[in-house]
Amino acid sequence: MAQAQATRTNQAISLKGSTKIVTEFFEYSVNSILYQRNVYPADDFRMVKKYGLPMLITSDESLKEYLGTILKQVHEWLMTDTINRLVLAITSKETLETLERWQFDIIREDDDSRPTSSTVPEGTTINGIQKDKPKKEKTEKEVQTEIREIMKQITASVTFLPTLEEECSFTLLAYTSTSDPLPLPEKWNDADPHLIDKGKVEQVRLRSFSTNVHKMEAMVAYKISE
Amino acid sequence: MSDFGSPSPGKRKIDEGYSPDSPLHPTHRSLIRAHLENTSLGTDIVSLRARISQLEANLTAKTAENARLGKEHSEISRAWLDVVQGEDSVRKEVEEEKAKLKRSEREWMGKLKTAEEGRYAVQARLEAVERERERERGEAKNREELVRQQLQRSERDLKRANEVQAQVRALEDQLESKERELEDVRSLLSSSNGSTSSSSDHLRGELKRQSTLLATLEKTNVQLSRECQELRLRRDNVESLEQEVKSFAKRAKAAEDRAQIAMEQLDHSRRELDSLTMTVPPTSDDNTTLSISEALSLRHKYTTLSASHSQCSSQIAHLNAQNAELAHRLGEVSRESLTRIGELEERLTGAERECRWEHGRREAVERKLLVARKELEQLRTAGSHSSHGMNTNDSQSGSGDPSVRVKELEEQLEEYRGIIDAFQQEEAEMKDRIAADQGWVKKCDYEQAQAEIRSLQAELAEAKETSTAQTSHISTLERHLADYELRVGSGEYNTRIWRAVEFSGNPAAKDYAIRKETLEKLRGENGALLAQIRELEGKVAVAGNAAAVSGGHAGTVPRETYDRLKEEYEEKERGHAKRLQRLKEIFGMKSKEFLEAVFSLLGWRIKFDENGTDVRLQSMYAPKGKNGLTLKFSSQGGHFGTMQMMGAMAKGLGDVRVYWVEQRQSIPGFLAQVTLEMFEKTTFGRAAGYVPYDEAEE
Repeated sequence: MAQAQATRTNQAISLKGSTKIVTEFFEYSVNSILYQRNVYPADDFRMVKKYGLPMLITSDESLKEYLGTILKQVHEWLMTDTINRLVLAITSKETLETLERWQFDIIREDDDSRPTSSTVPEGTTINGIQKDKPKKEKTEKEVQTEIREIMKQITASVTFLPTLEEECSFTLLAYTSTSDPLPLPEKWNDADPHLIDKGKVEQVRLRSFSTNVHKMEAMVAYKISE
Repeated sequence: MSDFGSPSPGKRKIDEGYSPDSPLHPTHRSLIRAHLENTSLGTDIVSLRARISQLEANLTAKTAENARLGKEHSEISRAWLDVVQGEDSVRKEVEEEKAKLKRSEREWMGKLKTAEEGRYAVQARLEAVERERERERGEAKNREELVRQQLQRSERDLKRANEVQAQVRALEDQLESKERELEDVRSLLSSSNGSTSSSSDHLRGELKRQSTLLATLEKTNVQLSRECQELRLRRDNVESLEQEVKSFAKRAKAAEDRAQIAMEQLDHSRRELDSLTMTVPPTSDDNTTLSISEALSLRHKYTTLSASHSQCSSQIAHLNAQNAELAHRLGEVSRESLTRIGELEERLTGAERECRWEHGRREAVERKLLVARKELEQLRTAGSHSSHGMNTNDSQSGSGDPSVRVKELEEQLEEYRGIIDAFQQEEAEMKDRIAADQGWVKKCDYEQAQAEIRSLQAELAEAKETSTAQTSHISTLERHLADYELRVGSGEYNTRIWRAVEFSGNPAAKDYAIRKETLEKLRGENGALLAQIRELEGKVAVAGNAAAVSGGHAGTVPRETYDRLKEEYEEKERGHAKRLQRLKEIFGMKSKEFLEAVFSLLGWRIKFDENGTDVRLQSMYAPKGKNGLTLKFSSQGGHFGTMQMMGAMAKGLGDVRVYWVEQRQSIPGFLAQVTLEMFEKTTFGRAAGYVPYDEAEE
């Protein structure tokens, strides 16, 4: 069994495997953000062990259902290479103002032809990683180590993010490509981009991880208090 | 400063690797190799000589045998004549045959003689070649000796050059220190205008030191110029050596040509010999067995001779090859000597340059010394004047001092001007010298350095401009980047290529809908309240104040408010229930974990009855069911209770119960011993290799 596990962790990651890893990362990161930012009460979360860390997962049925629907669709879009970005926008219930945007850019690593999510020009470095560098085959274990570091960063981000003193809600936005437009699934509509006022925004880039198929770049932007 | 006397980097590495006395030095190695080759050649020559003597002995023996055979032949022929005496015709034939045989014998003898002559000629050539080789060996030895001497000389030169360099450095240091001292003296002199006798003594001492320094500098200069002359002489020697090497090379080539000619002659004689052997005439008659045997023996002789000839020719070829190798070595030695000559020439040029440099420095120092002396003289005279004035009359000195001082200062100024002119002249001369390639540096190097400086300055200016432009461009780009990042952070995106979508049943939308609904309800409630107020006001207006008061509080709360409060209450209740359920789940999970931990660590599975008073314990090592052991503890509160032992294994635990529970009143001790006994008795213990005490006794 242990040998089989070792073999599995030493193998290169396929598109399907990468999609699964990314979807799973979304699930745990969204849950972690909702817990850390106190969007849902702490009692609604139970602890599980993932990525070698104690992670919190919601027990709220309606939230679980919503996340399940989203992640299922995200999985499909990842498989068809349609999704470019996923954003968790935390809004005020009172004023409906966007207070935080947790942005996850998805870059398909084996496809250089499509435009990148970032505004950084080609050939330059993104988070210290050269884009045109030859890739090293990664194992699942290495990817999990990278994800663990991002999770730690998400947890630690509470230290610099402003406290959310009002009641908040959230929504998940998916940014899909218009170059190959597919019909939107049922109950999916065009969304308000939930912009934060440019003069009041600050942003912090988080770590990134790569599965050699997908590369995930995380960033949090928040409204600074006046 | 030029790299005086320093060997080229590659050479220095070799010299540092192997000392000239070391057997691993390239020259020593080549000498050893030449010695070895000479020794092998000597042994070859000795063996060849032995072989030649052997061949000569063989030839002598063969000649003797030939003579013996001739004698036997004459005897046999005589006997034959006796036998056939009576028959004239036969005799005549025999006579004719005899004459024929004699003729053929004579012919063969002549051929043998020519072959012998050929052998002698070959031997003479071999000797000549040997002599030539001996001579070449002598020449090689001489050359080797020459090269060795040259090497030693160059080593000595190198050492001397190093010494000169060290001396030059020491002198430079001395000069610097002296200059510093001179500066100090000057400052002292300037500070103490009315100089004292002690300062003049100090100055005198300083002057003495300067003069000694000058003397040492002159000595060094003389020594350097001598060394320079020596080096020139050595250069001439090296040139003569080079010419000698060239003449040796020419002679070696001539020897090679001669050897080639000898080889050709040898081949020619060999071919002749071969033709002789091939054109041996057949014997006159089959009947004459004697002539056949003679012919065979002669042929055999020719064959051996030709074999020895071929051997000799191979030896000559070998010697030729050695000769060629020696010539090759000679070429190598000449090349090496040429490179050494080049190095020596470079060193000579450097030494000359150093000499010029030292000369220039000496002149500068001399000039400075002269100036210092003059200054000293002036200071002395000024000092004597001042002291005289102070001794004689203050008023006189006071009136006479300024004009004298001004004059002195003017003189000094003139001198300084003269010195500056001299310096300028010197500079101009130096430029001329540099132009004539006689300066401290080579003219071409100077010009090249100047051109490089100009080009580097131009490049620097260009690079500075580019750097400024790039810096401004980078700052602009950074500003743009920060702006773009802010835009991205605020959530802007390219709507032409991307599309933002969301699930309609998202929590924010749900919350918004709930909020909207609540607001609507509140609005409705508010409207109902307002309507009720209006109604009440109408009633008051109709029935009067009393009726209004008696109407009381009944029906003052609208239905909407009641419904809202009820909904809120229910919502809260649902929240509490959810939380309670969650806590229950967590408690169940935790208590299960706790019991599992107890079971793993202590070996007892604990079960609590629903009423909470009874606790049942089952051992990990006891079998399950009736054959096992179950302990039931009941308590009605406090530390007192009952213990009941159930199962087949409880029968043998009476003593343990009495010992631990009744006598010592310790349930944990009882449980520990029971655990041990269960382990011993059951298959667990046996599987672990435990043998019970009673079984072991049996």
